[in-house]
Amino acid sequence: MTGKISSDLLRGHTDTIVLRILLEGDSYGYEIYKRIVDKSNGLYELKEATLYSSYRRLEQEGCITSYWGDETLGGRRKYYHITAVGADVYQRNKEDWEFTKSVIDKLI
Amino acid sequence: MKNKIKRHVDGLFSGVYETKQLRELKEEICSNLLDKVNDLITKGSNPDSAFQYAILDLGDMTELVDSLREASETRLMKDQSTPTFIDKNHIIGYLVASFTLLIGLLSGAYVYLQVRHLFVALEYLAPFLLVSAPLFIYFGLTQETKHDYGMNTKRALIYSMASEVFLLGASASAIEYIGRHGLAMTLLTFGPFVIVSAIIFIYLGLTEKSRRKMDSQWQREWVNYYNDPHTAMVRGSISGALWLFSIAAFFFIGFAWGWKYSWIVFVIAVGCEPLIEAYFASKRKH
Repeated sequence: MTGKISSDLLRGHTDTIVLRILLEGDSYGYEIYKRIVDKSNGLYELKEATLYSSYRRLEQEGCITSYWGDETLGGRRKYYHITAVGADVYQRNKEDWEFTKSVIDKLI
Repeated sequence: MKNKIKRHVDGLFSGVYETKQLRELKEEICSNLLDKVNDLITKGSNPDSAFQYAILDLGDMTELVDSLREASETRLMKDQSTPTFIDKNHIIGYLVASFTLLIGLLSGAYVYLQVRHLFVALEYLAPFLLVSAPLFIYFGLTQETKHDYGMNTKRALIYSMASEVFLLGASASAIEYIGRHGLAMTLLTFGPFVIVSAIIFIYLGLTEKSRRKMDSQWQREWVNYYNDPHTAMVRGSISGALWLFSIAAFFFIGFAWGWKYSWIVFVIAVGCEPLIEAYFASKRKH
């Protein structure tokens, strides 16, 4: 595969990507980050800063809730949990994306 | 490594006012970074390059920092229309402290009416005071007000402990005094307590950070004060000299005339601080 991922294009979908990960179960920052990198086979190198902004946004919109996990050697982990609102938003965004993709495919 | 990461993350947010929200975000970032660094080390990287790689990979934090600053400003606007900040912990804390003090006052008053002796009544009041005073100090300092954020809990705890040491000293020397062991013995008992609490207070005083909220009027005053580096420097130097001099005088008097007199130096120094502040405050007005 020789393409390059436009980070501007993906940036708008970060929230949806995070929701997708959380649909599989509650998770915390570094694990979410690793799963995104793994899922894209290392082709999508997102920055953690983008993710923290995304968590803040999603939490404010009521798409996710957070709770502190047990204390580990490195300190407490903050876990995120997807809400019903979040699941709805994910579904809608996914449908929008499928539609956009089909239209753009016809155009370029 | 944990401290190294913490210092780096603190540096990232150095321009943002420390709120509970920010503290939690920093804690979250730190634990994730540590996970990442440990992961890289397990994969064979050396600790230093793992750290460098992890913080580089964090990316551009400006968007996050800006959004936090904005959020704290919006919250400030909201705060001004709803001026209550008391949460459940503080209500319980104040209630327990007040209740303890009230029982102390009642039993003190009761004893006084029975025996008509002030010292005996104070003896009954003292234990309750020793419990309620640090509670009041702790909850008072962590209390968020219209103009200030609450103090960090660990720091507030040290403040209340230092006050407790001072109060214990006061009670212990009161017992000596009532027991008619003489003034010298009373001062001798008080001394060590005063020294310990004074050292803690000096440390806390010198490391104190502003917890002021940046609404427009307070912001202006704050900026006015600190934007004049010359005044700030002179103010700092005078305070520093005062405390250095006090410590030197403390040891000198201690060795020359005995330790029971030397602690008085700190009392004088504590008295000088507000005078210096008052002088600079009066100068600032012109």
